[in-house]
Amino acid sequence: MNIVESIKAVCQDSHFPMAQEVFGGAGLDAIFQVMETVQELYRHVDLERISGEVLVYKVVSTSQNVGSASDVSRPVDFASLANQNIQNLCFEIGADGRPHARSLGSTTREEIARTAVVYHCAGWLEEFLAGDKRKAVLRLDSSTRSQFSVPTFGTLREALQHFERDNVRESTCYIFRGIWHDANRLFLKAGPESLMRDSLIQFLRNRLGADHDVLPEQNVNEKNPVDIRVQPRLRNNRLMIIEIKWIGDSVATDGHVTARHRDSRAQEGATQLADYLDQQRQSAPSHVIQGYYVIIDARRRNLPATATAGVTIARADGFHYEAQVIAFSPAPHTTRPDFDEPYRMFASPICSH
Amino acid sequence: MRLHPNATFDCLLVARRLQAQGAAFTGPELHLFAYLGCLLWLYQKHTVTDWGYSFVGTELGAPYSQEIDSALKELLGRGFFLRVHDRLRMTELAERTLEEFSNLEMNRDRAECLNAACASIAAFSLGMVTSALSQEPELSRAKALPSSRLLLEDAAQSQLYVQFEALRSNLDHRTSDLRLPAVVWLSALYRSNTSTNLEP
Repeated sequence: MNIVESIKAVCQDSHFPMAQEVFGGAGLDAIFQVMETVQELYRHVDLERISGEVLVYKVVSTSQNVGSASDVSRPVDFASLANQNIQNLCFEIGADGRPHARSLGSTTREEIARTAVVYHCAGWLEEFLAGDKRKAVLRLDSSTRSQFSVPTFGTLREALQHFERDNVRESTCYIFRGIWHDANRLFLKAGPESLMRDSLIQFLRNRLGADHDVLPEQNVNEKNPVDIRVQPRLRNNRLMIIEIKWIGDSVATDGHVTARHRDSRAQEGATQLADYLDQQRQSAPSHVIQGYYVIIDARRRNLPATATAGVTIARADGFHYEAQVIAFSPAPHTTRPDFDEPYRMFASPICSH
Repeated sequence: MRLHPNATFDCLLVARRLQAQGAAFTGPELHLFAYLGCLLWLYQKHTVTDWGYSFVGTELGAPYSQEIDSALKELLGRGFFLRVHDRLRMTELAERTLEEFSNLEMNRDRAECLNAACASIAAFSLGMVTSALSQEPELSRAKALPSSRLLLEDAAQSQLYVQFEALRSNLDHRTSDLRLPAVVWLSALYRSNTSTNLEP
């Protein structure tokens, strides 16, 4: 989709123009206030802790006075909700711009929306309502539960584990999906590493971007750049470097195999990262450096010699390598503290049976 | 050193908006939102010359302005900003000065652009704004070149204006509020990036 088509699609599908269309300038003010409030709420309350629904609204027109209670209540301090197990949450943004807890009784969100911009979230569905219109929130990042919630991971380690589960396992990430030659995810395209790197960079920036600089391809020596460098902004003597390698079979556009990488390739990457870490220690001796090695595992057993259209394999072959660990020798993660245990991420195929 | 008036005002205004959202801000964020403000200025059919200072695109696809950088250093040196670890905070002196500058008629239009730029963080994380903006035609071109280059030169603006026209026509020219085109455009840039990567 080119950018002009994308603009048209966003105008048709997103909630921003809807609020303006229904309530004019006041609707636009309201939707920005609601988004800011929802962001603030999710900064304090983990969405995973909410078992029911979240409703946040701002009354725009008080002509019918539905859902607009007087501001006699005290505004809610979201921080006080942080460690609670919550079922449902409902807040009205008052005239003071602050959130006030509301109990709606039998009033529905559709009734409130007659005079208000309403945000509603239940499970993985987020939507906005205004007047008699409703739009689901565009899910720009496929792996977050809310567009307004930026999960903050304590460590890069945890982020990488989420990357494996959320993006790699089922090739959920739009960018990562581009690495495959075929719809059944058996063969990789030739040279898929840049897409793997871009997918991980985007994932890390979306999650760690507020507190970390996530930088692609940093030169460590004149030959081989390290794939990603992550620097926390608040601790400027810390440096995390990520090396990515893939194993599996890649093919050219005509289906002939261009590379067949197995354990020796994984070993190569481990040795390379260990060398990077040594060089970094020399060039930046005051930094505390940690290395992270990501291996995208796309190995399949009994693949045909070429990738023909519609080719498929049995489940036993597709998942043969799923639990098969790689034996490293030498194994830098067992001998040096600055080398994390490698993150082998199995990217699963779609199999015939 | 003499402070560049436009760059100084922009630093103060963007800083206040970012600080209101996240307690502190960084230098690169000032460059980023000043640049987005400048793009919205062009969307409003003002000329890039009237913005008052220029930007270059770095190899990493980020905008950088020498004038913003100098203003930032001066504001730090004169006690308008404080450094807290690697992040920055405004002082009361900066708040008072911004209040005075904001009342000047000459700053009205640029404040509108900068406020709309900063409002986008209600809809997206900072990381997403960075990712989306790096797909904007000028920064996207800069990323493909091995060295920093001047952004928004006359000859290079045509692609940008095609996108702005698409924004205007799809929004039916229905509002002069810049927050709407800003968030729609950023969403579209972000989506076009991810769908481009899906193409065979």
